[in-house]
Amino acid sequence: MVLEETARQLIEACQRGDPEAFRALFEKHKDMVYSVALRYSGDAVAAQDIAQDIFLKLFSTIGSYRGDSNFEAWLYRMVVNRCFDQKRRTRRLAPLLDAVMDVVRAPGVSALDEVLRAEMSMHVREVVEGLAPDQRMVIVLRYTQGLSYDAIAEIVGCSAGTIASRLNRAHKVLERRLARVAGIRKDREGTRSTNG
Amino acid sequence: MADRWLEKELARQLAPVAAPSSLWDRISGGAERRRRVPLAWILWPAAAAVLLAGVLGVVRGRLAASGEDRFAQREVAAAAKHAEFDFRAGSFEDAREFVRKRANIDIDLPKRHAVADSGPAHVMGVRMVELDGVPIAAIDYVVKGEKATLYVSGKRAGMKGDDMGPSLHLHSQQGLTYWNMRNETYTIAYASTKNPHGACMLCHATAPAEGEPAALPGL
Repeated sequence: MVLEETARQLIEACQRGDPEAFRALFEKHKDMVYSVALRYSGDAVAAQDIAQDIFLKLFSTIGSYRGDSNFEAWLYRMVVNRCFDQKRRTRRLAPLLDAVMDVVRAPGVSALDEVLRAEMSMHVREVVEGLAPDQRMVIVLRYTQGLSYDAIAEIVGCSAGTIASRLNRAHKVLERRLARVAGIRKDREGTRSTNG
Repeated sequence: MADRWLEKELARQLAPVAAPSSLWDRISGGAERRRRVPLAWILWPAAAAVLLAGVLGVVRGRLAASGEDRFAQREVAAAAKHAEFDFRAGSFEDAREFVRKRANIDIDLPKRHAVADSGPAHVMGVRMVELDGVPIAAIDYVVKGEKATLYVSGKRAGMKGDDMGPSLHLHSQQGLTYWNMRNETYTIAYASTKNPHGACMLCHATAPAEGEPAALPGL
């Protein structure tokens, strides 16, 4: 992949030590880095720590980046490796509290639907966090970043077939573990359409 | 292929989010923070090393103390088998002179000690015994009607003499007080419960008050 001219110039400015370029590079990639870190770790504090480490490492090692390789894949690899280094976090209750408060504040919607939605949301994230690290990362790269199998394969360093296999296994685990909540929700949706 | 609902749910639940605005502040201040981190990594091992050294010191001290304890008890037991005086001394100075000539042991005295200061302590005689090849002089004396014995041994293997510094351990249950000074090990056996430090009066004009540690000779 050939870098766009502006992106190349930005990286070259960073390599010369231009502070404005560092800030611009940060602004360009901060959401991607933070999102992957957050969705992988499930913890906002840990995600900020990861993002901070990533950018500090990026700024200190950007001099070693050669323009002939894919910069985004290079950055993604740093994020993936840093996430894998992150120790398993302790489970936090704050997200559950947030979900309940959202239900209480939401006007004009069925409380049960919202509770189910919040429960599903909690379950999905919990189940994703319970996946094996390699499966979890593939899920995050696929659904948070919308990357193709080929792009994920380049970042993770394996074939697209392996990525497809990991995704398939992860989906099966998720389906099995989310079956109960999904069943209740489907029933509710069926009842609503019948009534409507 | 996964169920459609699952893919939709995953895409919804794992959607990208905006990084917090404070992230740049953390990063721009991160260089300084990073410089601080190694300090913590230096301080922790240093603290651990100090703690370990302290623990080792205590353990070593305990082992040394228990070793000295055993030696003092064996010293008393060895001397008990040798009841006859090798030298009947009229004074502490006579006993010191005999021990110096017989075993080349120079008994330390407090700097302000004078022979006349022995006061209430009346020296009776000296018994010479040997323990682990080390000569031991047992000087028997009486203080206020109570019998006491000062055991002085030559330098033992593994002891560093001057380097070791004085150490004092009071054993009120067994009536033993011992310490190391320069090249010798000193042990006092004295069973009086009324005046536990009375035996110190052989070398010290006044005994320490109750509850106060006994002063060491030469100090």
